[in-house]
Order: sequence, then C-alpha cells, then structure tokens
Amino acid sequence: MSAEEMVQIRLEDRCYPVSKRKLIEQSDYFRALYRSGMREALSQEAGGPEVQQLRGLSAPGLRLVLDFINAGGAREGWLLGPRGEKSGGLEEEEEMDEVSLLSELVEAASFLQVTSLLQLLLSQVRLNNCLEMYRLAQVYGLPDLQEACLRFMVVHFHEVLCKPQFHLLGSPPQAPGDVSLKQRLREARMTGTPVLVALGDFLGGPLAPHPYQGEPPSMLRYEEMTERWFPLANNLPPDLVNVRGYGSAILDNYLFIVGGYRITSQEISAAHSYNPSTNEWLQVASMNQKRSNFKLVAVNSKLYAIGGQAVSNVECYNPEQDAWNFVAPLPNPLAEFSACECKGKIYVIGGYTTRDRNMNILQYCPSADIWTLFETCDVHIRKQQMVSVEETIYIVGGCLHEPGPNRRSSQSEDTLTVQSYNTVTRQWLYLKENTSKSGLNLTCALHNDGIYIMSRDVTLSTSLEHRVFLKYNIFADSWEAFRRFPAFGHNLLVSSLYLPNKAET
Amino acid sequence: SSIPVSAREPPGVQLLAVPAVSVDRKGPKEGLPMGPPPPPEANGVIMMLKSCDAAAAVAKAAPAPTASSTININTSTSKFLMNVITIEDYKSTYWPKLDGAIDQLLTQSPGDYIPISYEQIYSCVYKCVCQQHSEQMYSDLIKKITNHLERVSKELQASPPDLYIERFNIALGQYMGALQSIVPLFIYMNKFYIETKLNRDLKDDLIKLFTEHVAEKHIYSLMPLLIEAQSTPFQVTPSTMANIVKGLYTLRPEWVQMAPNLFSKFIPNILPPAMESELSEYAAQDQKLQRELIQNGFTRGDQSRKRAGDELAYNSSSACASSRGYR
Repeated sequence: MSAEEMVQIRLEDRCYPVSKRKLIEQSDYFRALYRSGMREALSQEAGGPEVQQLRGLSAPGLRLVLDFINAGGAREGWLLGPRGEKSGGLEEEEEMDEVSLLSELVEAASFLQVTSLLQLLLSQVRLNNCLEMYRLAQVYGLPDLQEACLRFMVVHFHEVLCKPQFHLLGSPPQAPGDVSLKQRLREARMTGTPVLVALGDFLGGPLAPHPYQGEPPSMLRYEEMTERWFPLANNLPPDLVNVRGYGSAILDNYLFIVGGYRITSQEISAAHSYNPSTNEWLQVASMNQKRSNFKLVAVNSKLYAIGGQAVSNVECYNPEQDAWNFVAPLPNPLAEFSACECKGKIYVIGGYTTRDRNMNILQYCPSADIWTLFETCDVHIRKQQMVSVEETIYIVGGCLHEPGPNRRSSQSEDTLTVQSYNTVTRQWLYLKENTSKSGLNLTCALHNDGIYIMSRDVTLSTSLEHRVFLKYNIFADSWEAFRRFPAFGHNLLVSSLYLPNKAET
Repeated sequence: SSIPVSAREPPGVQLLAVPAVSVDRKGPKEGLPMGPPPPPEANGVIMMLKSCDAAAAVAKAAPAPTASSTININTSTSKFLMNVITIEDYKSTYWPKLDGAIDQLLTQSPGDYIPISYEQIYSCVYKCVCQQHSEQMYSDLIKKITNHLERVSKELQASPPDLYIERFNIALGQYMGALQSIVPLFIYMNKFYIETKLNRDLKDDLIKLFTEHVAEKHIYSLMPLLIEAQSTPFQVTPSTMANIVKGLYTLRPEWVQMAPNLFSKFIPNILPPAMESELSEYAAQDQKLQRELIQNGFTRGDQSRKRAGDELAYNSSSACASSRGYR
C-alpha cells in the first residue's frame, strides 16, 4: 500500500486527518467501530460517512490523543502536558492549566480507548497531578492508573496529604467497612522491611563498618542477618549537622527531626522529615517556638513537641496542614524529663521542675487537649528514655533516686536499667539491670520483639568510652548483646523504620 | 471576551490544527440561573476555562474563594460528564436508546445494512459507565438478551421436526451475528466495568446466555435429529451441519460426549488418533460408502479433477467430507 488511507475525524467544526491504519492500531474505539458493521464502518463508496464525527470531547484533549496516534504511539521521552520554562508567578496558573488539559487528555484517551496512551500515563504521575489523575482514574474506571496513583501517594504521603485538594478527594467512606483514602495510604506506608537506622556524627575510624569514601556517612542501616551496618545512600541535610538536643519521632513512617541547638549558636525551630520511601529529607514547617532538650511524640497521626529548656508550651504538628499550633501547655517547664505515647495518650515522667524533682506522671489527652496529673511516684527518675507496647511503658536507662536513706541512688548512674509501668494497673516493675553499661545519654528504639539500645560501657580502669549496642527482649526479659557498633560517633539516634523491599526499589 | 488560543497551546507538543475554543465552554451553562457574569479574577484565563463546569460557577458565586479552592478536583470540565445522569434519566432516556439498538441488532439478518450510528450508541454507553450506571446497564443488557433468547427458544420449540435443525441454525447464526455488533457497542462497559470489576468478559457472558437459554434446552431434542440427519445424506446441508456442530462445540465442548462420531467429522482431534491396525477397517468403510453412492446413481467422476472439486464438498460431495474426517 503506497499512500496511507486517511480518516477525517470531525469534532465540532474542525476536522483532523489521521491515518486509518494507525487509528485502528491504537484506538479500540475505532477498531470496534470498523468491525461493528454499523453505518460508520462502511466505506464512502458504500454509503459510509465522509468524516468520523465525534461529539462531547474537548478539542485540546482530542488533539493530544490524535497527535499520539499519528506519531504511532509512545515516542522516546514523551512527557505529559506542557513542560515549558516556569517563571515564578505563573507556576500555579500553569499547574492548573496542566491539570485541566490532563483531564481532557484522559477523557479523550479513555473514550477512544487508546490503551497504550493510558498505559503511558502510569509513568507520568507527579506530585502536581497525582490527585487529579487518581480522580480521573476513578471516573473513567482505569484501575491500573488508580493503582499507580495510590503507589505514588503512598511514597509521597505527607506531601500529598497537605495539598488543599486532598480532603476534597479523600471523601469519607461510603459503606461501613470502607476505609478512607487517607487511611488506606497510611496503612500502606507501614509496609516494607522494618530496619534499624542510626543517625549521628560518625567519626569513621578503624572500627567503621564499611570502607567510607571521604566523609563518613551520617545515616546507617543495620542488617540483622550479618549484624553489619551499611551507609544509607542519603545523609543528613546540612541544616541538621551538629544539631544537638533535637526532638525525634516517627510519624507515618517518616522520621522527624525537630528543633535542638547548634553548638556554635542557639536553639532552632526548624523541622525536617526523612522519608525512607524516597530516601530523601524534606524540610517541613518550623515550630513556632525554638526549643531544645524537649520531647517529640507522635499520637493520632500528629506530632507533639513538648516543653524544652525553660519552656512549658506544647505545640502540635498536623501533616495535613503542614503547620504547628500551640495546644495546652505543661503545668511547669521541665528539664531532663521524658515522654511517650501510650494508648492514644501522652505520658510525661520524671525530670525537674524549676523548683524541685518532678515526681508526677502527667497524662495528656489529645482529643480533650488537657494535661492531668495521672499519678505521683515514689521514685524519682530523670534522663530516661521511654517507649510503649500496648498499655505498658518501658523506661530505659535514666538516673534513679529514691528519697530516703541508702536506697538506689548515685551509683545507678552507671547502671542501665529497664523498668515498666503499666498505665492500666499503675504497677511499676524493675525488670532488668546491667551494671557495666551507662544508663545516661543512650538512644533506644522499639524494633521487632525488643528495645534496641545504644549506650557505652563504663569501665573505670580506662578513660576510653566503649560503645555498646544491645537489645532488651521484651518477651524473654533478657539482654542480647551485638558485637558491632555502627561507628565511633556522638549525638546518636537509633530508630526503626520500614525501608522499601529490595524488589520494589 | 475571547480566549487567546496560544494560552491553550502546550509548548513542545506538535498540534495538527489550532481550533478556537468553542463558545459554549465559556458562557454560562444551560440550566444555570442567568445572572450577571462573575467578577473577573486575577488569573482570568484559567478561570474562564474553569467556568465551563457548573460546580465551579456556583463556587464563584460564593464569597472570596481562595485560588487553590478553585482547582476542580471533584467536578469535571468534561462536557460528557457535566450533566449528571440520574437513575431516572438513565431509565427514561439512555436505556431506551440502547434497548432499541439492541432490538434491531438481534432481529436483523447477518450481512444486513445496519443503520445505527456506532458513535451515538457508544457515547451513550460511555456516559452511562462514567456516571456509575454500569451495574444497572449490565443487568439490563443481560435481562434484555435473556428475554430475547427465551422467546427464540419458545419459537424453536414450536418448529416442526423437519425444519427444526435449519431453524436452530438460523437462530444460532443470527445471534452470533448480532454479537458481532452488540459487543463492540459495549466495549467501554466491558473494559471499564465487566473486565475490571467482575473479571469477566461480555462476549463470553453473552455466548453463555445462548448456551443456557437456548442450546441447553434443545440439545436433547436436537442431538438425535442431528445424528439421524448425518446418517441420511442431504437431509440437512453439510454447511448447516458444520455450523451447528461447530457452534455447539464452542458453546459447550462437553457436548462432544453425546455424539463423538458426529463431532469428529467437523472438529479435529475429537477421537483418539487412528491405530495402524484400524486403517484397513476405515478403508473398507470408505469403499462401502462409495459403493452405496454409485448404487444410488453417483459416479466417481474424473479422478484427475478430484482435488479441484474440493471446494464443492459442502454442496455436492458429502462422501469427500466424510472420508476426510477419519484422516
């Protein structure tokens, strides 16, 4: 066949010539039309139409689809919509324009059933179009595209969540048992492989786990099978280097590092989150209050920054708004205290008030926004770490002091203890101690069946600090020591995150 | 006011023509109260383009919307989808249109000119699918075709035995012919509802309806007639026989068990492969058939033209067809 047979497609008052062969190849609509034996399938000589009339589609959308068909399908480097130079003020306008063009394109491609074009959209999901694409996929019944959008939104959950359009899309569950889009995404983030991640100013050195090139990494991941530490591809953002006394918490599988102080200057209010799905750090809204040596706790999909050096106020971060707001303050500023979430409430234990030891356990109820005095303790504790499992709070390390003569006191500074406090029975249990490890300045994380602890060995014979990495098994009530400590370093933080499974990356 | 065409032109995308944005995308929509035009907003061009959808127009009447709230996430710029199709609309307007087209397709003969516009019926199906009426439309379609097939089955039952096979063949052929047109009309529903939500296929479903409502009800009266007809040359034309047997095999391959010899004449590999020891028996059978034909006045004709006459097999020489079946 020498000359391509062309078909004129008419939309409104305009005609578009398209190769008939390509049309049948790419569009299920036209393939079915020509096979249907109906009026339009006949050739002109047999009384068929001069043009193929289309109605209801938008011209720009149809043109993009016909361009695609005329080009014979996907071209190298095909990109969705306009990708022009963006000048500052026009960005939003262009984004909106692109969104409307996108919906016209998807409609035309769906109507004409240009499967290869619809397939190509799967790789075009972006932050600025994922919500619209998801909606379009629902409207036109494109499950693959819907799936691709969901995957994208899981990976970029917080960035998508704070888009103003999100709440319009995330309609409430329609039937009992349905979960909202937000809930689906949130649950999907808790998949992958739980991995211990260590952050800190690692110094490298002879015990460094891996041959480093140049600067030692500031983020490491632990491989349990081989008991080895490997650098994570990404390092701390420069803003966070040499920041001490920050608050950290995990929310929706993002690791938040908030506030703190720089050795050279003063307290900061900046907040960053590490997204393991993308292996990227994101700067989020800063706190209203600069604070350091405070506690950051994740409760009910929000973060709470509690107190700090001479600070009693509390603020709450909602990722849906990417904003911090003050909530009910602590009754007093506290120092050397600790806090954790337990059964949807926040518990604050230990430390000092401005005048005295804090013997009170304070409970914060996020829904009522009220701090209450939960219980008063007999033993004073400070500088401990806290994690919770169900209704039990585990108090790791810290410095114990029982008022009264000759009870555990000063020597406990050189003892690593694990205690539990049951928030239902209000019972304290002194679970385990390890007399050669320091209970101060440790970092710990709940991971799998235990609490993984990084601390140091206290040996009086030498001035060298010996780093230790051990686990308290919650179920067996036993210690387990690991040989390999990530590296010499300070300002360490250990936490447990879901990293993407290797097959997915 | 007019919209500069260049505003719609995506850079880097080669476009074939530059159509003006149609007038009705700008103006207020029918059915909306005609009031003073909404005040122009900062990014006028985009706002204009957005104004084509009713919800956005309503939103603009509300005081001081923020720029971001005007992004139409829950509404549509689509002309197709702009007007909500209620279930009443579907029942009063859309389904009757489809119903009429299906009737026409079901009752015409294969090869007839079909005056129906593909584009119109397809658009109708498309709108109903996008407006969430797939479930209803699918059930209506199945109900409609079931009713039709039940009628076909009753008519067949009333046929005199000598016309029964031929009428069954016509019913099967007409239905399969109609599916050639009905299935393409509903491809949008098939792709975006039946395949994805029900994990089925429309064509399979519609063929199954014929099996259940026609073929299954007639198979026990049809099969003895077919076997009888097969043993009596030319009672039924071989092409009819071939059509029916192949058709029944498509509908339900297990039906082979009812008459393996009959099916083996039209469907390859039905019977176990011939054993060398049986070849003389087959040859004897063929010879016997040929002798009978000669006795009945058929000549063997010119041996040299035997192959040339193959295409006539269905019309004249059943001997040829039957002997081929064994090889």
